[in-house]
Amino acid sequence: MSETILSVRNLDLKFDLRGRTLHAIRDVSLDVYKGESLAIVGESGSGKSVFTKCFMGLNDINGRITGGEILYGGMNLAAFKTEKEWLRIRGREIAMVMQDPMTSLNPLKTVGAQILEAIRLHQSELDKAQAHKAMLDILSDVGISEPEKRARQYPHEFSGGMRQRVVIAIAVACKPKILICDEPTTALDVTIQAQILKLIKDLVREHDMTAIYITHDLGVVANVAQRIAVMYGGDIVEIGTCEEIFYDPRHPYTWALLSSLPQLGIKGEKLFSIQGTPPNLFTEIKGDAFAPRNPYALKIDYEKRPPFFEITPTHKARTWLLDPRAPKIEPPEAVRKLSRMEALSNG
Amino acid sequence: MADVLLSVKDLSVHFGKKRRPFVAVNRVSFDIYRGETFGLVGESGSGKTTIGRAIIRVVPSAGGDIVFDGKKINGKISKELDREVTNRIQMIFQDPMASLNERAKVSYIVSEGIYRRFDRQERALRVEKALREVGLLPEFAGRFPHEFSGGQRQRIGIARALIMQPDFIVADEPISALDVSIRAQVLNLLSDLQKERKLTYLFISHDLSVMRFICDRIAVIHKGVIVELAQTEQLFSHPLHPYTRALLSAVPMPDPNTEKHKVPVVYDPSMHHYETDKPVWTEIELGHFVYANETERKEYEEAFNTPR
Repeated sequence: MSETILSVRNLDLKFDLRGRTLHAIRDVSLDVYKGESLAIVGESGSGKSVFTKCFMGLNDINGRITGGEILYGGMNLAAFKTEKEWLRIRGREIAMVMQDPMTSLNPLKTVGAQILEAIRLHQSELDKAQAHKAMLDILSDVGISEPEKRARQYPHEFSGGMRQRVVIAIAVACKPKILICDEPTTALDVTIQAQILKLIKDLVREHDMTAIYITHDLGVVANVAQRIAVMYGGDIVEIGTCEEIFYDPRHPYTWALLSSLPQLGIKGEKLFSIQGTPPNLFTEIKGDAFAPRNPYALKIDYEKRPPFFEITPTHKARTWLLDPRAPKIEPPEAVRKLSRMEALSNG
Repeated sequence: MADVLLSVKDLSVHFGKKRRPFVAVNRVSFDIYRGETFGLVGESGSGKTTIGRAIIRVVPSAGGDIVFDGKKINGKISKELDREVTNRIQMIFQDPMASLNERAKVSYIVSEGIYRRFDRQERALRVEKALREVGLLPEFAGRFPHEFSGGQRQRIGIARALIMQPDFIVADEPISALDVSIRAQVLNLLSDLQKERKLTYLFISHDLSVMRFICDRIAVIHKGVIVELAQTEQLFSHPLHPYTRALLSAVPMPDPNTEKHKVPVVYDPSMHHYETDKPVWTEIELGHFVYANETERKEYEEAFNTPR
């Protein structure tokens, strides 16, 4: 595998909320390779957003990293204290595309001014004319026609899809090494979603960036991700290449996520839905966080946290089902259907 | 022929000034049969929500008829009929974060529609029943909306519609704002309720993958005009109109092999040559309609007759 650009080691993140402690990220390790596109998938509340916000120091002040390291370019980001340190990373090294293009732009400033702000802040070596030209270039890069005219307009004059293009323009304006896309298309229509995903994919390739996608919808990532990490209850429960996760998933939670996709449902039959609620992260989790909602849970799942079992060098899952002593369990129908789809397309 | 519950004929909705109106819905016609789920799919700005709103009489129609159970319900109608329509047609809204009154308790939100009609005891009973039906606990009645998750809030919205004991529900993107795992729960709930209560749904969405799962028939709407209407399976196996094909190609599939070789179809309205050859509403196969002119009709028929 190629070199590691960002390495997270045993990260722990806690939030203080009204005198109680919420354990949002529990001992998570993850290597991000240079030039890859990685997707982090999970339900809301699984910690996928706060996890990536740790890479940019964007968590609220009541959140604190209580253990572990985030290694990037010879620095440990987890040890950063001041805004000044973070400013070296944000924008120039790691940038983020936010979820909702309706709220992530300033309604009082022209679109051009907002992109310029990012350029001038992070690339102070450019003079005024150069910065202006860079701004127009980036606008046409993200597929906005007539950049001269559009740059003088305000966000409300743009449609949802166009606004998301502007948000992407701001994020890539400073040619970051890593681009984090936090649910980049959830607020958009299906047709626009396809366009925006293609745009991000093309930009990532052109500018040699590493992309991290965050989403709750496994259906979206098949197109864009090379590797997928599935997150549940503040922990990565399964990680593997895109093909491994879709065609050969091992963790019951990944099975559940795949089975609940309406694309795989059969009309007239019940769609699979995950019973119960996500774990309460205020209480310390014992064993496998997914166990209470897991129909295949074993006794040990309630007692001891499962280690990562390696299936292939690229594919790991945290479930006791993979222990040689565990009973053999067939994955649900929807998952088997997918594996058959792979068999079909391969021959 | 099955029994028509709601019939929309040549419905137009205009916004803005009388002299220079913005035509949001342009002479749209369709029938919804009793007990079915009728899907309306299109991108934002296509007028799909406006049609739903015109049916529940929130938006006035500029022309055409909406006939519900044999009675015309758009335009000026009597007070009794208005009340009947409010009772029998209910709506479920898209965003469960915005569609519930933040300052009211769940009991009030759910019972608002029957507030003047029953005394406090009867209301409490009915609220309890409605909450149970959507899978919530009766003690939730005393809480406020902010205490609930997105999926639970959407259930409250559904309970609010159910308490009126409607026959017909307009569901406007009921699951778009929800997480994938919650989506499945809400979809199952909607289809269970349909079976139990013999409800008829108008299901509005931009996502065809969801529609395939829940709808019996689907109408595709583009810029205020319905361009194709067919049974779900017909539409998915033989999409005719280029816009339908564009929508279908945009549906993300959870299958890396298909996804990585997929070429998205982009719909360009200027591909039609409607200046001299005017398009009409044509039936290509039984129950499968498409908006096409003479040349296109021949193309579609040919495409339809060549087996794939």
